[in-house]
Amino acid sequence: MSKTITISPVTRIEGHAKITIQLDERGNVTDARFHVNEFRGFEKFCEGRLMWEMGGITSRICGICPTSHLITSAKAGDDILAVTIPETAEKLRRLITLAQWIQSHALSFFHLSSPDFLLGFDSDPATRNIFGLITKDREFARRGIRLRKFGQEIIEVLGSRKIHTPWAVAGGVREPFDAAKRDHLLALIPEAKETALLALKTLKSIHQEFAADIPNFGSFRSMFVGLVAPDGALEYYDGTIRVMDGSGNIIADKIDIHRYDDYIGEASESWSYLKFPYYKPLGYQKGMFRVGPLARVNICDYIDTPLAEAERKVFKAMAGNAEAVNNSFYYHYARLIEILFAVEKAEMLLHDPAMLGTNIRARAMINRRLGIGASEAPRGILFHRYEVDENGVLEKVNLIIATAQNNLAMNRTVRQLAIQYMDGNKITEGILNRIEAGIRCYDPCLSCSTHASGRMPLHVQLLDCEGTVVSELRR
Amino acid sequence: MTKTIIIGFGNTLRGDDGAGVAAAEMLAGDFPGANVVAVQELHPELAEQLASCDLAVFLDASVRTSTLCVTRVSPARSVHGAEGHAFSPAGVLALCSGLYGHAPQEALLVEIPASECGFGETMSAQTLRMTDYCVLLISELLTGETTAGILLDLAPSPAAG
Repeated sequence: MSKTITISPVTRIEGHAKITIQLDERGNVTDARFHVNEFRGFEKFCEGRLMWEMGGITSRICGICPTSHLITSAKAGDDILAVTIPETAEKLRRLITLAQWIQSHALSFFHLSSPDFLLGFDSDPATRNIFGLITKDREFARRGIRLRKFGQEIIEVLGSRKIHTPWAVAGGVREPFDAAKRDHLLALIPEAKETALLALKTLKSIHQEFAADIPNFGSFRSMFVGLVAPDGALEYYDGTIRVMDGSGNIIADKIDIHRYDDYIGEASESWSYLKFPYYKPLGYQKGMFRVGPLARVNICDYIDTPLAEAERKVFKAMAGNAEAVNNSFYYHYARLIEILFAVEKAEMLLHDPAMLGTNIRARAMINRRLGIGASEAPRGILFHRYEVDENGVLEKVNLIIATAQNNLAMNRTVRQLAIQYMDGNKITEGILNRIEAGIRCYDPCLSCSTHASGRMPLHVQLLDCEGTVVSELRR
Repeated sequence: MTKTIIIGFGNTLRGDDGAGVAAAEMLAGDFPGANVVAVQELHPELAEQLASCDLAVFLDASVRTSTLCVTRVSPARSVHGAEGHAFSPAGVLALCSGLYGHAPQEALLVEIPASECGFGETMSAQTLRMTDYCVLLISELLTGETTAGILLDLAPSPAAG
């Protein structure tokens, strides 16, 4: 009799989901799926609201990356106003975007994933968490909290609030920066940089320890999609879309974000509220791509900060330079390179005199009926597309979220891990945790990706060939 | 002198759920030098601020009581409430204790009765009244006119509410 195993809810991620593993009569894995089972429907209820409200509304999609929605919404608003925002406003928006990366990546690495790395996949689940981490290395855990705090501090200094700041608006930002705030943030840079380097050193030191596991963590060729700067540098706020295949070939480049719809399609499946974006030229399934840190560090030609660029070269060398790094386990590595980049880049921006300018907002009426904004959220490229009437009232909204763009790859990763580790019909704690850890590589934010709320504990189900649940494990 | 931190949390876009934030913002206005924090949700960085305090008072809206409730909070003994980005008071106290070796000697949770938590930025009349009452009590705590112990005696527990 064939069976299905369900892991529900998946733990130490943001949101609520379950995993099912289908076994055949001999206990071999035939399929595995990552189901996201919450829904909020922001795209629909935003219709009829004023374009000006969208920053405030869409930032409520998420408590982790509200700033990414705020910035991307403001950029869609800039497009509708048809304005080029002042230099100071752009640089301030860039700084807050970097801060968003720092705080979100720090939470992902130190808080959610480090327990696996420092305590082991097979350690006692009762202590394989932030408190176990504290017991193992209190200073490391403290540094992680403080690094996240640094990111939050930048957001609060700029936007007056850590979460859901209404600071960025169509046309620019509401409040200017000043020298006292700049000096305050500059004083925090050395410790943040030191912590980013420490995290990199720690992660690289455990790569050898996990050498047997790593090849199973989503090791497959896919395309990688993200924004790059005009000169090919790592980009986080603006730029054009680049698509790279798993062999490291750039197959599409310098795509204006307004043409994203020509390249990215969205499919749906009856078993998940999370959409399945795909690369249109190759069609659904074949068009699987990955976004986020692994994609960004793969597709860029270089990083324009010295320490992160040196680390990028080490990263790329793992795949022989020409190839893309195709293993999803290295999302963690890429994430830490990005933290280092973000701290270095923030320091560069803070030293830029233009940051203290007072011309921070361009004002205009509704000049276009369609506005598209894109930026690199921590988990990957984020699109906001608004259609408005002549008064700026929204007629249609489309949000394409980074986590959703990784959906096909996350499912592939779950399947790979299940095939590798499942033995017969029994789920062990170690297997359960490895499957969860495969999902955690992507640091999925399901609140964002389904625009749904809630936490994401783990639930695994084992089903027989008739679909009856024969075994279940919850955490 | 007792070092106190007041932390009000909740979602101000969900009607009465924002009562804790509203109370904290009123207190911050009345006592500019006090250590008052108003946040949408409890987050791990608060652990550092808590570590330097003797008394922590969490202000939150609650649908499980019809009157203002004050209860003592202890650090959580399990990871529940201390993972991801949304922490419980017990969870953030546990994180504080784990990271810094100690937590505030006394921690209180003040629950402000809430009944209407739909979309909207206005609070119900009952919650507004109870928010004012909460601000009055915490003001007396900040001025030294009352103590944590008296607060615990004064306001009913959730079971009695």
